[in-house]
Amino acid sequence: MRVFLALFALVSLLGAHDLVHRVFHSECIAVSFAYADQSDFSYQAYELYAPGETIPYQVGRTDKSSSLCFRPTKQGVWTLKAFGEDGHGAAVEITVDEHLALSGYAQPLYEKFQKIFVGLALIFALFCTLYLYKKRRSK
Amino acid sequence: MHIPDGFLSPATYLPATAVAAGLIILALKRAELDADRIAGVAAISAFSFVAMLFAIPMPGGTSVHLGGVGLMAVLFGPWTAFGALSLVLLVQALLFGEGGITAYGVHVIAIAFAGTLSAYGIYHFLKRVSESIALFAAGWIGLVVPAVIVAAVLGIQPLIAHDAWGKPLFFPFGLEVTLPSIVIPHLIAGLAEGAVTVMMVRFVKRYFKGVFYAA
Repeated sequence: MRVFLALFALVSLLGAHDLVHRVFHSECIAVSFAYADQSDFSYQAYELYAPGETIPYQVGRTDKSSSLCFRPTKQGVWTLKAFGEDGHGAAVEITVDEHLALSGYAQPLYEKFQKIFVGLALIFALFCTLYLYKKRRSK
Repeated sequence: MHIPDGFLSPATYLPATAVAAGLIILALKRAELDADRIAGVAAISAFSFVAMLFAIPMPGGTSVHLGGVGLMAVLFGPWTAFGALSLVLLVQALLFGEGGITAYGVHVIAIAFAGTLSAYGIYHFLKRVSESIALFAAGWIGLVVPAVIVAAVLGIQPLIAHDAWGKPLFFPFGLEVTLPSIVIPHLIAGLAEGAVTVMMVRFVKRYFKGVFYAA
């Protein structure tokens, strides 16, 4: 009986230290970084903070394709800080809803306003062309 | 107010594109745009472009945007305003997906043509009563008339294009849905458009007299 109990305890201890795994194909949020000129941000350090937390939930480096994934565990605004070795970096706020799914994220200022800048530049360029055409015709 | 691709049947957008092309050719002949006025038109076109990009949330989950249609019509006359707004709509459709390319003709007719014409007309009709009221009305109607046309065009799609069982092939909602959901928010947003038109026209008249359409 003692031998049996000892063997049982040994098996239980072995089980406690066995590393089990599950593979997910959803429930995760992926973030991809790139410089404004689309050059890559691979193998750069990042820290991810859960809502209201000061200790990182996840730290690591971006993968070869400048991306990272995380599996949120609570609703709120998650903060992702990425640090390039050249001194560049970004802090991205990612909002997670009550189903732990992505509900929004803060776009970088450049991305948010590039449509306006490009559109304005194009409109002024078209009118400049028209102006030059009219001036040339009036001569 | 910008209709995406796939919402309108070819029976709607093909004739609309033909009519819009005709109107644009007419505008190229009739627009009074000398070189000295181009900078002003460019500036107000840029204002219109930006105004159309910012959606204002409305009760009920919809959103509307200002357009600067009345402002354009009053400042530069109907044909120049029509040409400039057609250009703004083209840039939005081709480069930014703000409105589908197939819907461009409808947008030109609704926003650039009907909008400017109604705004210019009501401004001239009311300016004998009061310049401020006329400007406000021009701004308001320049937003509301295009909204009514867009709502009507969308709302008749189930009648125009449906399969043998009556199921709509393109936009699925009828006039009973599109008219209240599109027009009512624009009736309210038109108040802001009217106020912006009064302020902007006064500003331009005071500081940039050279660009103002004198007719």
